[in-house]
Amino acid sequence: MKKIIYSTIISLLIMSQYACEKVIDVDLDEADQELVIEALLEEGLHNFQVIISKTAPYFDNQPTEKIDNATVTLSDGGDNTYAIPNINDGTYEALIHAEANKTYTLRVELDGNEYTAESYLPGQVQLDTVYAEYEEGFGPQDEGYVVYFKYTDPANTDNYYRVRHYLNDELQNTGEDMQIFNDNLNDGNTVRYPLFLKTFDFEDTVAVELIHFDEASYDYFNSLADISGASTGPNSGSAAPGNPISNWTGNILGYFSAYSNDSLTLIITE
Amino acid sequence: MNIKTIVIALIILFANFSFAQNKTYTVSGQVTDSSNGEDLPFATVAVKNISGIGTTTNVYGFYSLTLQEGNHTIIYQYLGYEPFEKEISLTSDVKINVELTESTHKLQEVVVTAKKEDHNITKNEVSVTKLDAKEIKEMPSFGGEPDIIKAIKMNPGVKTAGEGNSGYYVRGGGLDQNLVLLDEAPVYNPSHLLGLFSVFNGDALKSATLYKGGMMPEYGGRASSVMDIRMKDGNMKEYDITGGIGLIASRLTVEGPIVKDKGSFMLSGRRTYIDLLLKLSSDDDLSNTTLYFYDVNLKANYKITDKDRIYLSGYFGRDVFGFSDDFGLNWGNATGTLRWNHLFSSKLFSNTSFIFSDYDYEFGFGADEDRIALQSVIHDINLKQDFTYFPNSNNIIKFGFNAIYHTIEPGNITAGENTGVNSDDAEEEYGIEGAIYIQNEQKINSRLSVNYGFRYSFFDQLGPGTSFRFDENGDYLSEEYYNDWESIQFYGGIEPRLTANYILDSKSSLKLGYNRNYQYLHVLTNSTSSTPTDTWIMSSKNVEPQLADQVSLGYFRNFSDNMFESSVEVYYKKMQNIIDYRTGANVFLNEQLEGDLVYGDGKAYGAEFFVKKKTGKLTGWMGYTLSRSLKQFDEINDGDWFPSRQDRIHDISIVALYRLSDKLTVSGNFIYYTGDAVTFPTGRYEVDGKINPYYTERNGYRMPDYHRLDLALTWITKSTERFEASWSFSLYNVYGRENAYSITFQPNEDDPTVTEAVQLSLFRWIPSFTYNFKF
Repeated sequence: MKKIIYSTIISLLIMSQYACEKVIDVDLDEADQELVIEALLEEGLHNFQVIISKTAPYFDNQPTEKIDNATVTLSDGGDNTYAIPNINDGTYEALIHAEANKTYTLRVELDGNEYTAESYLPGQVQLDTVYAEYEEGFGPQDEGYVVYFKYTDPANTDNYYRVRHYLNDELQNTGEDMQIFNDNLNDGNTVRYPLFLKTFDFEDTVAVELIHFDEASYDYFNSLADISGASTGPNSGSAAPGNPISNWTGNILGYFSAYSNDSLTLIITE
Repeated sequence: MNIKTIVIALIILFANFSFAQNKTYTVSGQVTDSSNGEDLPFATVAVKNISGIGTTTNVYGFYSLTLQEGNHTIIYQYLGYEPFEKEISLTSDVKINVELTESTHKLQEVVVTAKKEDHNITKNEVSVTKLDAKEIKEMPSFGGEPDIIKAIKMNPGVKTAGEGNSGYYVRGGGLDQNLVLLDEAPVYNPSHLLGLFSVFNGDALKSATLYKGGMMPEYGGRASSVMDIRMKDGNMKEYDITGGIGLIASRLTVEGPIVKDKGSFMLSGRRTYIDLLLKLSSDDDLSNTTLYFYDVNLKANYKITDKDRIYLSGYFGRDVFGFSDDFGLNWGNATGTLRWNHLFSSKLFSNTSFIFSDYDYEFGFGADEDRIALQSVIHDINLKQDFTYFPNSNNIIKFGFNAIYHTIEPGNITAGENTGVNSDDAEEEYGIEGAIYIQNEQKINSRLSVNYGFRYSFFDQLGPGTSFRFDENGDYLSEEYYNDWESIQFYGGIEPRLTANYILDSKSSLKLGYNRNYQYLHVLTNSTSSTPTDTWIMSSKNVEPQLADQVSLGYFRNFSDNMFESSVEVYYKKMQNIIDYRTGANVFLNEQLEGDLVYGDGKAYGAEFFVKKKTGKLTGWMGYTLSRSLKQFDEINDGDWFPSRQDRIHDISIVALYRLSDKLTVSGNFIYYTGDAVTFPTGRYEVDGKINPYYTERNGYRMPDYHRLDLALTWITKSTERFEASWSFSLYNVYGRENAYSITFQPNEDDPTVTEAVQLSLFRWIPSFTYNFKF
């Protein structure tokens, strides 16, 4: 919400030509390299991927260093443990059939250290409908078609969501596209949200994916969204930016998130 | 020291009063402005030929001076006014009301008066900045609106929260540690237009006093400072209309007697009309935008009898901001004060105030069935009783109490049917904040005066309400429900206060101040500036009161017959239980928000250098502050101390006014400060298919230094007894410095594998002009 208010104000100032933006040089220190482990486990039978890399200096515009010598295993809380082998370029991959209502544990051993993360996989929440409406622009939002989606939140449990969308089959994945929410204010309701601040054109194909995940995943992505394109000014979205809240042990970066999802596709006509 | 020892010590000190040798009588009365009958607060009342005897008027212009029987010459002085002498033969208590006449500011008559205006040397006040509303009229202003808060921010030790922001930091303290009072009523958000303007209309005000330290026991409630703003009472003699027509806003003030010399009123209004200009724009985005504010100040007073005077004052202001039906945000303050001044005797002055204050904001998206809106309110009802007792010419004792009933409605949601959101009101919070205080301003001898006392303050968070418990990671443990008026959590403490002034010679003095302040209400803000949607929270089981202890020491010296005032002050401030967020805290409508907070310590220290030239063609001041402000939280930065955002090491401000002729005045402001301490990324990594910043230390970097020059020209086109008109022209940011408002680290839009730092700057060369009139 706050982000919207600010981007609205800033865009107004920019429109009014009181404000100007420019790229500047900033001298940044180089920090020690830190380990980053990213893993997404989708419900159903899918290729499960773990990517292990390291941080790089901020303005180092190279692909970051990848780690291929780790031992990665996944267990499903029961008797099943799967080895996830390295395929190259920091990627570890295996075909896994992930089931809802299970808590998965991912274990990474690297250079004598062990890192673990747990993630609970909640059941699918279905999208009821996806539709578009033509709307006038305001502030940061242009004039055009606004896409709305509706779903029914499971009652009496805390639910956490992320929505992603594909425009003409291409995933839209900038900081502004991160839409993370929970059911604090609408537990058990049929909920309608727009794809925030996005407008589309006639004949666009828009696929909406509703991701349902656990609280730790929500905390991670929500705090990641806070710093995505974070500005450091008096009115920035995050007063004191910090690294996202990770579910990994051992103070490293990244996350392990198990999730279920549902998608609907819309072609914008009248 | 416990309360008992302090009370006993005070009684022993006060006991001295009974040993006066000769017969004494009391001279008391009111000091007012002869042209309009406005009270003159803090005017000096001195006795000729007896050095060190004298007093000052209180905020209502009242004074009381007890002298020995016999002949005396009493001198009344007020800065910018002709001094007035009165010979009296004192054989009984007398009442003398005095009207002072403003020195005409005609060039040829700007002569230093024979009388010494050495208030800043003799007055027992340390770390206090006073500004008369008149003083700021000719200073450069943003958008042509003279702004008393902005003028005060040009003083050492006070730092602006940023470009176009009404918030400020005092001596390294936080934005929420400042109490802003308008006729005694707290103003919870003193910003219009997100801070571009303050809510205080210059035409409606009399004065502003900022206490950075050495706070008297009569003030409390915030850890760092108190800004005491007083509205004009209204002209007692004749009707006056003043106004201004500017590019952005217009204002009109009407004042006059209700009954001549008995009662008066003042009504002042202001409205911006940017929105009307936006309507003309061909750009739909702009023409669909609503953006305005207005405010109204009202004050009336009436002398019912010689001994009783009633004041009623109120403020109401509102900001409205929106885009068609899609988005709307509006907020505003309302305050009201009903006051009764009563003289029990010529030695005992009483003021009783009943105060109301309300701040609320609402924002919403969509219209009708699609609308979702959130409203939040904080409001106070406050009863305040102050007594001033003038036992003899060496002591002034003040004592009193107050009790505030706070209500906070954190968020009321109204949602249309289509939104799927439940309309719901978050649980309201209630609390009582109270205080009793006593202080004595004592002249020990002709050189040394001491003001000592204490304030006992307390806070009781009351039911109905739910109190949550959290573990050390901020995760929910348990909750407990409390019934109506049940005490959830009680805090209280003694706040000792002391100031001392030692006059070294007629030109210089040494001053010392110590104060301890408790703060029971706190602001949580996602960003670092004050915004309409700041969240106020009360002290509770989880949130302990903030506590600040401050020592200040100052050397004050005047030069060239008091033409120049100068001072050097050093201070050290220790803060406890200051509040910050855990990373990723969810501020918005989170009933378990307290679990996302962390508590730590702060320290701030610095030296402030100040020179002011008071008379002559060229007037103005220069301030330089060298200071640090640091914080420590166990949960942040590995528990190491780190700079607060407002840790601006160097800060320079210059204000100058030059009178070219009777009709023309030019003025300029210059400010420079070290960039804020901020957190920049030191590295990057890939996650979620994009490049993300990696942070290693809190506030380890600096924004670029800030500097800016503003110029203004005031041209009086007509000035007669009956009509006055002038033009003011201002240019903000004369040399168009691109000061960094924010720096954003982000992937390049065209090539997301390349990361860059983007600086946003606001406001280069903002011209404005205003036509002002008075008749």
